[in-house]
Amino acid sequence: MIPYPELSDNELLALLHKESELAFSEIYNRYWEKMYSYSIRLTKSDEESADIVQEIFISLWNRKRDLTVRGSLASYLIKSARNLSLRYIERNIHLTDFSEKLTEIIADTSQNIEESISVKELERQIELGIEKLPKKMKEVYILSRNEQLSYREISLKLNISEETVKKQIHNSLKIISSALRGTLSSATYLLFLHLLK
Amino acid sequence: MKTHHIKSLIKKYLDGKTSAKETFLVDAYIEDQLASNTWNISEAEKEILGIDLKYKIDQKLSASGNNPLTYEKTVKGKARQLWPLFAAAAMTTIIGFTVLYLSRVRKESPEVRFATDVKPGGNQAVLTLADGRKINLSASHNGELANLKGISVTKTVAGELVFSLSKAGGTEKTDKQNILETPLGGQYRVNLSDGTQVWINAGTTLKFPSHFSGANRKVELQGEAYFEVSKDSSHPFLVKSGLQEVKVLGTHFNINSYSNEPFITTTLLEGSIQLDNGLTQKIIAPGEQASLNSNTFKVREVEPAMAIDWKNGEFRFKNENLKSILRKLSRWYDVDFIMKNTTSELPNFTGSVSRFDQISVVLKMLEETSNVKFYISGKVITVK
Repeated sequence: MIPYPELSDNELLALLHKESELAFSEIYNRYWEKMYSYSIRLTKSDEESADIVQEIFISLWNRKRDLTVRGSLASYLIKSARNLSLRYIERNIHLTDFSEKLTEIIADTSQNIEESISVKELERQIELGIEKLPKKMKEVYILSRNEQLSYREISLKLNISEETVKKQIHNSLKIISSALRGTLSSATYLLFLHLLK
Repeated sequence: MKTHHIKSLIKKYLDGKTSAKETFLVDAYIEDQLASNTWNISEAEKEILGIDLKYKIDQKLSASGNNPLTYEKTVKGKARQLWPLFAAAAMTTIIGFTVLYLSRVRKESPEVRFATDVKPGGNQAVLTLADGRKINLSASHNGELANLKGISVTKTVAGELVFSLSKAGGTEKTDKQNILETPLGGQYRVNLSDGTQVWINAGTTLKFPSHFSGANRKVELQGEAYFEVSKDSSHPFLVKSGLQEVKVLGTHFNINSYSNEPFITTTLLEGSIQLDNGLTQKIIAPGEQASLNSNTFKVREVEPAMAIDWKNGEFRFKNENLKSILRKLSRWYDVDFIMKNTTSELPNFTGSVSRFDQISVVLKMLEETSNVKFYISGKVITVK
């Protein structure tokens, strides 16, 4: 019998289907922290993040028999955390914390992207921009996009200062913006990070 | 952009109805927040949080009859103050709080928060006899309450019930059980017909025959009780609580098997007992405590006096976490606690206090050595 920590996510899901309590426990051990970290960086509330993590696992156990996960278990759990966090933000949007930043991003970006642009076209344009990035900058982008690391975590991983990380990203923006019409602000580079998932 | 526009944008996103551009806007916002904010707590605090959330999930699932999670790690070390997540935000909060505190200190004094107090529990129990009769023990007079085929059921003093062989009549073999039940806030003591003495804590049910016949002396427990089993090596005494069965020959031990505690805990003071969870058996020695649930069966050394504090009329805590303490208070005072403590980690407590005082005395003791504050409102107490 392979110990649970060594089983793959898909194997755990298959066992969970068969109502395995130990598989459920292992899924919790494996992902609770990532989910909590994700939620708290969005909601900025430990109480809410605690509730979100609990709600997702309770729902997971209750639906264990007929649950179908599209994509990976990890992305399913993080997407659930994302949606519950957004719901909390939407309910509390009157708090300046949330509305200010979102307003800023929307204001900055709106004029630079056509309303009716399709996903494919936007992606294509950004791909072009990314291609022109120097190697180091690409590295930073990939870390931020794939692992959703913060500036601090990226700086630790690449062994460069946080300031350097920020500078890299700002500079990359200038390069990529030549691929899109108009000038894009610092907030918009993040679009690229997400698009290339 | 107006607030209600943002609201509807997010709603659209959650419904999957956003255009490519709108999707990107929300994703950009998410990415920005993930990148700019950090979650910084120590490994020890993470461990505590992980276990705490696991337990909460298990509790909520067990309300519908499930207990799927396992608890492998034992939490070590004291809980420490969690650093604020965002330094800037924290500074404003601290300054804001100081100003508020000074102006509110009169409103938040203990006299105001404890304006209504809560009385401690007492000797209350209901006995359902093997023949079906129900007797409210707190309301009944002292003296013989019933005679079941030669077994006299007597209330000797307040809080004590004795089952004994009376001089008249023979004893008949019967499988029918008597049930002694304490409500929240109740406690009682019963002497079984073989001489075994049982102290029963609040919210507990004990099932036992009037007279022990057969190879074993068997009782069933749900809740908490302390046993002093009379010696009879040819007839082992068995206590069944959920998935645990304890077998004793002659000994003193405490069993804590409340459904809202993560483990069935059995502490041995004297003698020797064998525990069985249906899969394995373990024998423990005096000074040892077994913790058992569907996934765990561990034994460790403890101070037995801590486990039977209730039987001695007090609450005794040694580095015990607040939530466990509040569960105990909840059962004895028959109150509910609402946790509104979000900013700091909950501390552990050491100390002892009589359990026959009003609850404010216990709460004041807890407040003295920590940052928590209690607000009593009838039978609901808020913790901040």
